[in-house]
Amino acid sequence: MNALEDRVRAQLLAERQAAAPPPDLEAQLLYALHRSEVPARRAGIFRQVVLAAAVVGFASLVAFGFSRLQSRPAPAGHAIPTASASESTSATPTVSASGSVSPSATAIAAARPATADELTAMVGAGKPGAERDLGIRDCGSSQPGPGNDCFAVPSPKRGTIGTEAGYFLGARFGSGCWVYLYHDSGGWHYVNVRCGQATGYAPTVGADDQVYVTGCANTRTTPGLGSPVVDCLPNGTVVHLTNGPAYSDGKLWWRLQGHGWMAHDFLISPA
Amino acid sequence: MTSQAEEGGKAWIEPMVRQLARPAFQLAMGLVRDREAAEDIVQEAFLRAMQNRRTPHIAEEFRLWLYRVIVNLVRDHQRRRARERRPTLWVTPSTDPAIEAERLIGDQRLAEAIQRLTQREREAIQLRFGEDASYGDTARIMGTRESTARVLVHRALDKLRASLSRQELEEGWRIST
Repeated sequence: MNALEDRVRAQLLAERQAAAPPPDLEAQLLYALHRSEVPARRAGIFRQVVLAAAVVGFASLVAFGFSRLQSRPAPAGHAIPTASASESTSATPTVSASGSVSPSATAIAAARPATADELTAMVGAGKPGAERDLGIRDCGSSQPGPGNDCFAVPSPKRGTIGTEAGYFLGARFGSGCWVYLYHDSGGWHYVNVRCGQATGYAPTVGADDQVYVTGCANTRTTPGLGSPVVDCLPNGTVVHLTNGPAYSDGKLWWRLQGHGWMAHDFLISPA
Repeated sequence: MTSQAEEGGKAWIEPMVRQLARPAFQLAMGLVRDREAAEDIVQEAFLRAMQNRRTPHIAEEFRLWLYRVIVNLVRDHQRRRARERRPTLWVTPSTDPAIEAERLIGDQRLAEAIQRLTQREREAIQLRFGEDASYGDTARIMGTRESTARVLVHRALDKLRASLSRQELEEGWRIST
């Protein structure tokens, strides 16, 4: 074995000696190398930093959105309100139904989680309207994501029932959505929807929200336009919602801690 | 252990060129057996080394890295050449006198037997006995496991032994008759 190895070594050595490199090999190589471009390292580092920042930013966004979906309240928001004036004069109900139910003060129930049957009915009634208002389609079996902005109802479904009204949680790419409905003898009816990642742009029980109005928005002792006015809160007032929604006089109403009931229209960001 | 080409732009490559250009050419030449191709391969290998941010700057690490690039470039070259040859129905003898001269250098029978080895066996033989690389370095340069490099070297030696024995037996028979 060694003899053969030595023979191979000797042969390869002889070939190497015969294969003499060109005398100016180094000069040729150095010339070629000096003419070529070295990639800018700063650009590489910069690219990596930007990429890392983008990844961190995206992860934060996803985590934040996920936590909003999992935990609770208010999606929504974007624009500065252009809203109406005081609810008793100019606020136009977004509720389309003509049938009005006016629960008395004693009939108002405390908000509670919706049952599975109620959620099914609410989603069935609210989803088409939400998709129409948001201008997106149903996700079907897919999930909202980059390049797929669609409307989905996360599982397990989450929703709250107030007094002849309620809301459930939906989602589109990048944000959660609250879909509001009222209920009458004909069943559930869609009112409106708001999507967002921050709190304060759409009302939910147990969370803070913000008043959107030009001038000030009335609060009343009970849900309904005929109820005595308690207060008039200016635009941007941060309020804490303790109960609702209640459907009365063609509107949804929310109970604000320390202020009475305010119409839904002043607690939801402009679309 | 610095493995990133951080400083100096192109300055760091110059001593590497001066130190390794000739051995790199000889390795390429041993594998590809074509002067022009060997020069192109060595130039391309140094260019890649300079432009790759992960190129090591330590001389020994750089040598292994450069040789690995050369081996890969040789494989690419052989594949291209095999594709070009495929439609040909007859073998054209080499017209390069340098190649023909090299075929006759030293132990001609052994040289021909080495050329009959597979590409990977030739690489293993060249690195192990031509470059005196350890099995570990041979494996790193070839991009394989050390055990594979050992197998390739031993298989190549077995083939060479068998080939030489047969030739020498045939020659002995011719002489005796």
